[in-house]
Amino acid sequence: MKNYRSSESDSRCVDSILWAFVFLFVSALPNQILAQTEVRLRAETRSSARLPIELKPSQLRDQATKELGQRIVDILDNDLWTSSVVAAYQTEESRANPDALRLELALSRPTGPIRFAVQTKVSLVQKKLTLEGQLLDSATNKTLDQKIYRGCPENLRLLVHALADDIVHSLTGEKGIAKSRIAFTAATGDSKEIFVMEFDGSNLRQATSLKSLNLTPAWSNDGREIVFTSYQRGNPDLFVLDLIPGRMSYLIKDNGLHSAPAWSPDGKKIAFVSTKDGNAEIYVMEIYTKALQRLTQHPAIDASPSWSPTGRELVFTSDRLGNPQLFVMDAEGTNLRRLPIDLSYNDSPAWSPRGDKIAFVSRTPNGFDIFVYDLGTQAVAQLTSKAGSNEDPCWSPDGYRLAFSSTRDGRSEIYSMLWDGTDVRRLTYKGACTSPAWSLNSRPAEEFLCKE
Amino acid sequence: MQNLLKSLAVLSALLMVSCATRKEVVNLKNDSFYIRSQIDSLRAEQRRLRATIVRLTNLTEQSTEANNRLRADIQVQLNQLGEQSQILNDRLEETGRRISNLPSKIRLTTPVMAPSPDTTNSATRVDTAQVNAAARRQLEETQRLYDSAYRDFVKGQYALAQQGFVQYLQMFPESDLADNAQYWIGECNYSQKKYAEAIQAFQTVITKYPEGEKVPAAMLKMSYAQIASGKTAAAKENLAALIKRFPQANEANLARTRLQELPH
Amino acid sequence: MFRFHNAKFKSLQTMAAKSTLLIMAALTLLVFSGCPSSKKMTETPISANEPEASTVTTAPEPAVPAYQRPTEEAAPAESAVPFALQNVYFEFDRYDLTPEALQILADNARVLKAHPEARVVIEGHCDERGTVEYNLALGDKRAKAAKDYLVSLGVTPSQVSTISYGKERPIDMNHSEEAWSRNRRAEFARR
Repeated sequence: MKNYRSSESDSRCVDSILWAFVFLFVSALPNQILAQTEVRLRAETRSSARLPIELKPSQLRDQATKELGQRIVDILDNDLWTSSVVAAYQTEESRANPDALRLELALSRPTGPIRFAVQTKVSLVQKKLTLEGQLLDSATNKTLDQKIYRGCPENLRLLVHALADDIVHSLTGEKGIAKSRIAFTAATGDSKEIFVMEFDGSNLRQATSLKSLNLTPAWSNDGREIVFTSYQRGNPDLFVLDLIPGRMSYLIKDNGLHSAPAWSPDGKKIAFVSTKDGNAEIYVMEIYTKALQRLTQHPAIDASPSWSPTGRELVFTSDRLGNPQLFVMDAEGTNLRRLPIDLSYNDSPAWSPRGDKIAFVSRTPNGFDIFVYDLGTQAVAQLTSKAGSNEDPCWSPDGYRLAFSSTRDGRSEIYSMLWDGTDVRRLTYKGACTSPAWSLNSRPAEEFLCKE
Repeated sequence: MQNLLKSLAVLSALLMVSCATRKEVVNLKNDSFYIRSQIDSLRAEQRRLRATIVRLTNLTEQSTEANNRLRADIQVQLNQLGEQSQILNDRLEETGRRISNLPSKIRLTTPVMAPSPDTTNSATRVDTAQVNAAARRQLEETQRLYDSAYRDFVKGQYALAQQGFVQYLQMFPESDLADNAQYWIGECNYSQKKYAEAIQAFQTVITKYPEGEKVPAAMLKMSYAQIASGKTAAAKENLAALIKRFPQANEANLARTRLQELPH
Repeated sequence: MFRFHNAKFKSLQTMAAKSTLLIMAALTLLVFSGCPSSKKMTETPISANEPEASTVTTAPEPAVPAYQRPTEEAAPAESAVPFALQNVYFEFDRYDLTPEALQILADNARVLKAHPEARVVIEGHCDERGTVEYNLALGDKRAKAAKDYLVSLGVTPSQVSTISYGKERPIDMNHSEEAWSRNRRAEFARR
């Protein structure tokens, strides 16, 4: 306890507390269960249906300043809004300087009464920060649950993200995305480097400085490592970057191209494309044994593998019918079938973490647009149109949002939108940003530690 | 002086001895000139010949190069043809698959077109329409049931998915997707590591739908399930049978790799 | 002036035969004219040139023809065949070689065979349309298609390696059909 580490923020600990919380919540308010279910269903079908929550101004203790309190409420506000399932409304007194986002919120004030409120309390003693979050029943002002997060001012954002995720999970059963990050590639002069930012575009930082081409990043499940293609040694090989010490190691170096890695949902395997045996085929490597299994065997191009959330199937692109189309096979490379999508050039499939949808790009007169194929109904929906070229879709860990690159504002930038194509948000202002990859909603424990 | 005299004497003597006259000397001179010119012209000729030979050699080389080129070009064309025919083949298969998914729909629509022009009995028509509507509803239900079972599978709800596919098979045993449903039952078990049940389900695909497109996949997955449950000998037999029966299928390639990995 | 001038225009075979005959005749003549004057005669213009025998074997080299045997005399050949390799271009989303590409590659093969010590990398490139991953694979296909053809033309496989840059290294940054067609290429870089 003395090492400033926020013990409650340890993910396992959070999980167990959350379960207790959910149980308490459900048992204490049986009349709310129906409402929750309803919200969850509505949130899946309509983007505007969110569970409204009131955000009370933060209560300040010890050396905590008003600015610190306001920052907490602002971060929480943004986190909850981006979670897609709840809508946070700051109380009049806490809404000091309304920005565009809160203006948007103000325009969509809930029609009915707000039934839940979040009260935060912050204390700062000798650079030790204690954040307490309380979920209240608005009508009775009764505390439904509370949690304490300990850290220091440097990782305030992360502590608030953890609180936001816990609130979302408690109210809706969804996992939240506030701790998630997005990696992408951006041009820096002649080279392309990997960058990392938070789910909403904040805290952007450059993860590699290799002065070479570094492409197609993908996250490990614990949010600690990024696997990507690097030309650092001249040949396109796969590297793994450990973000905590910032150390890089080879995953595979061999003749030919190695690209488009995808970490399996169980974290044990990486699927990727290699031309080491002559032609672009899909391979799966066991990370610890480095055992390699070749899944496809076809003279055409097979590329862009993406795992189903169960890890039982893979969707990938193949031009075996003469132009790029989407195919699904099982994790052993058999039971291959084409997705019946009647569009002529389809690529970049991304399997939703919810399992039932596959986002992909298809060629349109503007370049590319993003579409979603529903595995249950075989229906195809177009999410972007007439706004530049839109590429590289990837899902948020809760399956509600998609990050993608788009040239709608000129140069290629990273955006995110709801799965139905609404609520588009621009996340980068750099130019030449491509290949976003959205991490799962987890951070390595080291990030919660305070620097001595 | 003496030398000069001597040489003059020798010269004159030589001139005397030789049968040559001054005229002959002139002739000889002419001859030598003639020869020299001949040699000159020969050398020019020679030079040209050498050049021609070099050119000829190069020509021969070019023609072997042209031959090589031709061979290489033919190779390229053959490769491209091969790939094109593969693409066409795959397309054909894909079309076949899509068509095979259609018959039930076509069957539904044909009754409406079928009644001969002389059939004036409106009651029959109504009946047909009713039957047709019912069949369409049934088809939609068939597809819905199948799709929702698969939806459960991709969401990882294997027990639910299996239940869905079993129900589908009970309700529509003659459906075109029956072998697929049976395959998915195997896959649901395999995904839950219930290998004995998986083996049984895949075996049913092979025996009950021997002409179905799922047979190679079922044979492979049955072998994998056997390997996972320690029945290596049976698995080897199965893999060998798969390679023999479908040597061109991707499953055969996977089987070959797996066979190599297995202890001998 | 030369009586046998017209011989130039005769067929190669008869010329070859004739030249042998003429040399024989010349030699005989010289022997037979071994008269007193012969020495004096031979001292003059002819001796200024080489004797007949050497004339036959070491006539001055004619100008080096355009095509030369690439395997013999590597050093003079290097200067003869300049080391210049041309790019090969592809159609959209294709990696098969066009007739123009085949011609260019045949020329490149000749250059590579004349420079057996040279090592080159074929870089496969694509236009900006299409995804990063797909274009990486497509670029690889293009580079390999070019290499395979060179090898089938007799280029040593170890002389040529391949790499794909996908759409990451365009030579024309514009977004037009013209720019795209310039970017869909296999480029040759000397190692």
